[in-house]
Amino acid sequence: MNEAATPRQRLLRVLVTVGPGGLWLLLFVLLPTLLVLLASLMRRGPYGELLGPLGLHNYLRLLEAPYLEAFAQSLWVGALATLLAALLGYPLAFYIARHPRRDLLLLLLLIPFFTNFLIRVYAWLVLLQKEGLLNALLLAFGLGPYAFYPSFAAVILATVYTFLPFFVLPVYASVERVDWQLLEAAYDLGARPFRAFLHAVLPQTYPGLFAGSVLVFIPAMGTFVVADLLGAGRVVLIGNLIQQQFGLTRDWPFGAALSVFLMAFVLLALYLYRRLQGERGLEDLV
Amino acid sequence: MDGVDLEIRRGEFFSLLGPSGCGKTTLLRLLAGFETPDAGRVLIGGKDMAGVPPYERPVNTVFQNYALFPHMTVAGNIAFGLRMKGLPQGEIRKKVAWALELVDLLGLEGRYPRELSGGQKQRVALARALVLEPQVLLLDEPLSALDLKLRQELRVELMQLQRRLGTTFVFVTHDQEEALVMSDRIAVMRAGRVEQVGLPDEVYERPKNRFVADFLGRSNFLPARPHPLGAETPLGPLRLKSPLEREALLVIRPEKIRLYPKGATPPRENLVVAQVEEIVYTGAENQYYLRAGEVRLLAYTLNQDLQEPGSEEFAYGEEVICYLPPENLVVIHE
Repeated sequence: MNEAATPRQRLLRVLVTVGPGGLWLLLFVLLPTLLVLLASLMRRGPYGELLGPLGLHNYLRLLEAPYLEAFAQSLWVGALATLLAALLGYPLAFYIARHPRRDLLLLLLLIPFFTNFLIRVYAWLVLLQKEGLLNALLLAFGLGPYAFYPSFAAVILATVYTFLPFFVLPVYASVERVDWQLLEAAYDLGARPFRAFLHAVLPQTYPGLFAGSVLVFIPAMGTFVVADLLGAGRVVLIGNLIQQQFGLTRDWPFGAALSVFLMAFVLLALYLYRRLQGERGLEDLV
Repeated sequence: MDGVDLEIRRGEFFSLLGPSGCGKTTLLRLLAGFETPDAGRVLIGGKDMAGVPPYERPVNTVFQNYALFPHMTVAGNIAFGLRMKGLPQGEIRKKVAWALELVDLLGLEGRYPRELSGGQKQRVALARALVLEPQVLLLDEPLSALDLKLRQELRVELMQLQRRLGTTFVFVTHDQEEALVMSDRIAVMRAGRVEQVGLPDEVYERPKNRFVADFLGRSNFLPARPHPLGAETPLGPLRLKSPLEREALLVIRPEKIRLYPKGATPPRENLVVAQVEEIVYTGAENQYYLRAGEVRLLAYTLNQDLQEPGSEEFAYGEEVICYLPPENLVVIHE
């Protein structure tokens, strides 16, 4: 690199390297976000148009019971899906990372992504419905039929199914980097296997656990498609509400307010979690 | 591992010395309980360790790369084993303080391993193991990751620590100098076998075979056949303490060969005239690469007062007289 670059040269360098990506983010992330923020402060006209004056009225509406309920249910679905994904995905990530054919297993894990998400959700519908494959199988054994669908359980099942790989992959990446000598050190210092794992291995996978939880929790809170198709109106998530406002109800300002609220909540949660982790370290909690 | 039969005494500083892949680390892992022997037994303090997992053995290990828990402070690392034992909080605090003082780390208890130097990490690893008062402390090349100066300091500290505590140390190393300096006894290993066990000077002065002579320090080797005087060698007949009865290998250490300038009056026997081919100056000594006919010899002279016999300096190409004292010619039968 040329040490004595003129300011112009330096500017050019920045523009060439950061420029394209920066422009993209500016046009398609920052600007739309600002538009949503602006819209959330406006009012819906008689034909669904956006009108002034600006105010916080949309945010006050968020406090009404049905919206708080939807928010609570979103949290519940997100938390439950994340917990189940963790219970299934954490051991699975270890199994894959320590398997001699892990390349093959990773491929298998990713194969569902080769098919469209919507089609996979519909596939669950076909499996779970009253005349579906699962009931056909149960009937063959003289059981059922059961109404697996529509139900809260079906929504959770499909949500966990959809986002499980997002949990497994970051944990897998952590496990691959685990220093197993620390496990031996823990044994050597008198820790029985379970405690040795808890103190020597688990903390090394916190980054993966954290990333996996975020990658499951956030989309699980908002996946209106799964809730719509497999919950059939019984499960209303904040994502469903947002979709309704922008589609059926044509109340864009309120939809925008819901979106801003969801974003703010997620950011706050991430921030608090990071603070907590940074200050205490999770090993003190277990 | 093959036919390893070792007895390590209580309170001894015992070294396992050998090149990489000789099985010394495997042997240590057998003691720690990380490996199980296919055959044979491991006894610690007279108790058979078969089926005893690492966390129940009365030994602790200092790992080569320390293996400190990165998410715990210095105090946390040292307290770990005590916590696993379920000791009360107050006692843990007391013992941690004792261990910190033992390894001279007072004031650093709140630091994380990433905030420590290599030597400090080493001390934490040591304290973490010693605080549990093991019957045997296993050390797996604990100094190999440090630079020379620090290594030399820590050698002395380790020796003092061992003497003070009276704990049995089993020390794995590939560094022959380290083993010679620190150990009460040394086991020299090669390819899963123990080649020789003994006091440092025994192993150095009376190597049992060519491998030991070659691995520990440097040696001159001379093939020899019986001769009335002692032995017939490529350098001519040499007198030995007692004459050879069959073919053997003679070993002589470079520092045992005495060098005399031409025209001096050396002893009358075991003399060889050689030419200086190469001189290596190491500070404390001069190393002469010599040639006598077809035979190459290596001889060291101390870099002392020039007037003292045995510390003369010679030049490239100069002819020197080498004296090979009979008592320093070690006979090896392979």
